[in-house]
Amino acid sequence: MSYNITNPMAKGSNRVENGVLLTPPPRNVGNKEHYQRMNYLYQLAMWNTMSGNDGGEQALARLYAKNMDLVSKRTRAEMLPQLKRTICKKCHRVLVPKKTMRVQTDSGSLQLVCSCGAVRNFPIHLNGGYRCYAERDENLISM
Amino acid sequence: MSLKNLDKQYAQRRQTYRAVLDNPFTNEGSLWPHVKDQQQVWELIQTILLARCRALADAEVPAPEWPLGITTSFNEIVTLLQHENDDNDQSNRSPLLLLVCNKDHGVSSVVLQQIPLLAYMSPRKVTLVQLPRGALATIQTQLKSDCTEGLLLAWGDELQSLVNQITAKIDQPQLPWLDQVKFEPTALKLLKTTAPLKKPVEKAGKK
Repeated sequence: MSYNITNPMAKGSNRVENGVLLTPPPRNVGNKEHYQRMNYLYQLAMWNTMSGNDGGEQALARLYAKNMDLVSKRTRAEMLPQLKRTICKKCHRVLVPKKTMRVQTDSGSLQLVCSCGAVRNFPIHLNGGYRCYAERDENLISM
Repeated sequence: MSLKNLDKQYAQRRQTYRAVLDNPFTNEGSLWPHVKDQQQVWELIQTILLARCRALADAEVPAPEWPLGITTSFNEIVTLLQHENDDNDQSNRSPLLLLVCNKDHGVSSVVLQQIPLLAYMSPRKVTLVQLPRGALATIQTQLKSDCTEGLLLAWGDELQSLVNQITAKIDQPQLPWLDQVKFEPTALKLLKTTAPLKKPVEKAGKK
């Protein structure tokens, strides 16, 4: 029986707050290589998009971004929403205003229109200051 | 003590941490240009720009007849920022002053994420200014408009001196990944979540 875990008064136990046992953050993260690979692929995709070496179709940049997405899914290495918003779900272009996408608001939604025609809607009229769980500073710890 | 409070004393869930990859390029420090003397810049904007807008609005002068251009509409701002420079058009040479209430509650983070990129990618010279907390309410009062997106774009030759004064107190925006990419180390973060302590009870009949 793990009395140390459930009993907040036990010696050497962690603190309990609102029914949640608080534990210290880990010092290291497993499978860091996957994150490093995704980071490198994203930067390659961005560089290829901005340099314009591969024409208007951005074939190489899209390939890198798609690889990044695949690595993320296969290895369950997650990305923050701020990062995912910069990649088109349909054609995997890196979304840069004026270069590969158009930004507009329409009936209370922010629309990111990719060059491929895919539209992503973000409702902003109901609760403008809304930030999702992963976007709130108190829930994120830098390593 | 209520049963609910008693329950909270005993752990039902434990805190866990999930590794997540952050955008290597968009750290808050470099996205928004640093304002050296925030108070003075805000006072300048209030006295030179907003007070004048208030006077024009009180006099019920129609917006198109104002000597300086003002817009709070996101779509108009995007159109003006992305408008190509035409040397023959006199109005296109006037400086653009983009004020952003990025510290106020009620301004969408998705909209704010786009603004520095839009300003940087604009072919025109844009002075991007982040305003202090509480600026949104002041702008709404002075302009007598809702200004929901927390953005205000002003342009016109009369703003040249104001823009010069503000530019001297603001660092140049630096988005190096849009000009020449330099490898950035992995921005790994930990996301705090919780997981149940007890294993879920298996239903009878299931093996």
